[in-house]
Amino acid sequence: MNEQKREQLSALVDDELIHEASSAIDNLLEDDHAKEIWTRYHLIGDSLRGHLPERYENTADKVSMAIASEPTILAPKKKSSDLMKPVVGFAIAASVAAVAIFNVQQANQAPTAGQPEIVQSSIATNVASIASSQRVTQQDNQAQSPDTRLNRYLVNYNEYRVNTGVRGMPPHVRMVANDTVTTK
Amino acid sequence: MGESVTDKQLVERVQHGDKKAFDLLVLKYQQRIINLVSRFVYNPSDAQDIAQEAFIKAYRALPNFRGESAFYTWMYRIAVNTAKNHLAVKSRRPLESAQDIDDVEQIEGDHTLRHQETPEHLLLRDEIQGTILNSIEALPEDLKAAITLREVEGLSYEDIAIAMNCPIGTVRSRIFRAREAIDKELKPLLEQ
Repeated sequence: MNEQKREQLSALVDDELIHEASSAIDNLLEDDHAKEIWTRYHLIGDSLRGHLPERYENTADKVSMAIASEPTILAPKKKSSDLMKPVVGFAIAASVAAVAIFNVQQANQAPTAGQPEIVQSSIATNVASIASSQRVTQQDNQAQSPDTRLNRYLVNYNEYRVNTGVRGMPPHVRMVANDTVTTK
Repeated sequence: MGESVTDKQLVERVQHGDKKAFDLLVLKYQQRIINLVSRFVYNPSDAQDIAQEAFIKAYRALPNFRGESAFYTWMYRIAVNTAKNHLAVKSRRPLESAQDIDDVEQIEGDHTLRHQETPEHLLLRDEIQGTILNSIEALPEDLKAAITLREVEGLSYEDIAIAMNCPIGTVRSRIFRAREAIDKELKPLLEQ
């Protein structure tokens, strides 16, 4: 074991190797001489900190022999679905937020003359698919009142919510349209 | 105590089937664990046995170790519980024969007995400590300061570099050279 590797081992003992730690551990596991140095370097620290027991003995061999007869540990890896849960949740939340913003803006803004269609957002595919059902022509926009468009938004949102499992109004609740009362 | 990057890597290796990685954790912590157990169990042989049992229990429990605490903190709890269980079992054990009563009488005069049992080991422990302290005393001042700040004060290389007003690479080199000098004296003692 050359001096450079021994210095690396000293830094590993101090937990001061970040990027090289894995390769230093590989070297350590393959080299019995390096293991002896690892043991003595820790012994020096234990002694200086007053951690030496009354009776010094290297018990590692006995533990190692006992563990040799134990079954090898193979810890289960995390399921990919578990890893994806936060991502999926975030994507759904972002989609719902985008739909809500888009529709509220649409409901509040009067249609611009000469604009052939309301431009659809390309934030997410599912947003686009929902939004496609809401395309209205300029003529429709001009003909519809804000209340009508708001009603359409509520109906569309409720249908979308049922398909995606997003919490909202329960499906058995009847949608009540906001109708303009005209008095004669 | 913060989580050691090295410990974390070693634990992950053990959890993926590398038994040898666990040997490194045992070599690293064995003296601290035996010393800890010795606070509960006064017989040094029992302390050794309990420490070994605690390490084996830790190995078996490693699949459930999620790294929410540092490995040593987790190991500490296992060792303390193993020592307490040992004491509980011992206190419940009935005396079965006249031979046991004789043992108790002998153990009650235990202080002398324990020291009669282990003079070589006691001498070795004192020799280890004496050798290390003498080696440090003989070091040049910069190496002595670096190894003391690291091992006794527990400072990081970065903090030592600030305290000693030198680059981190110099700190790493000084600590290594100090250890080499101490190890040169310590190695023959342990090989006796």
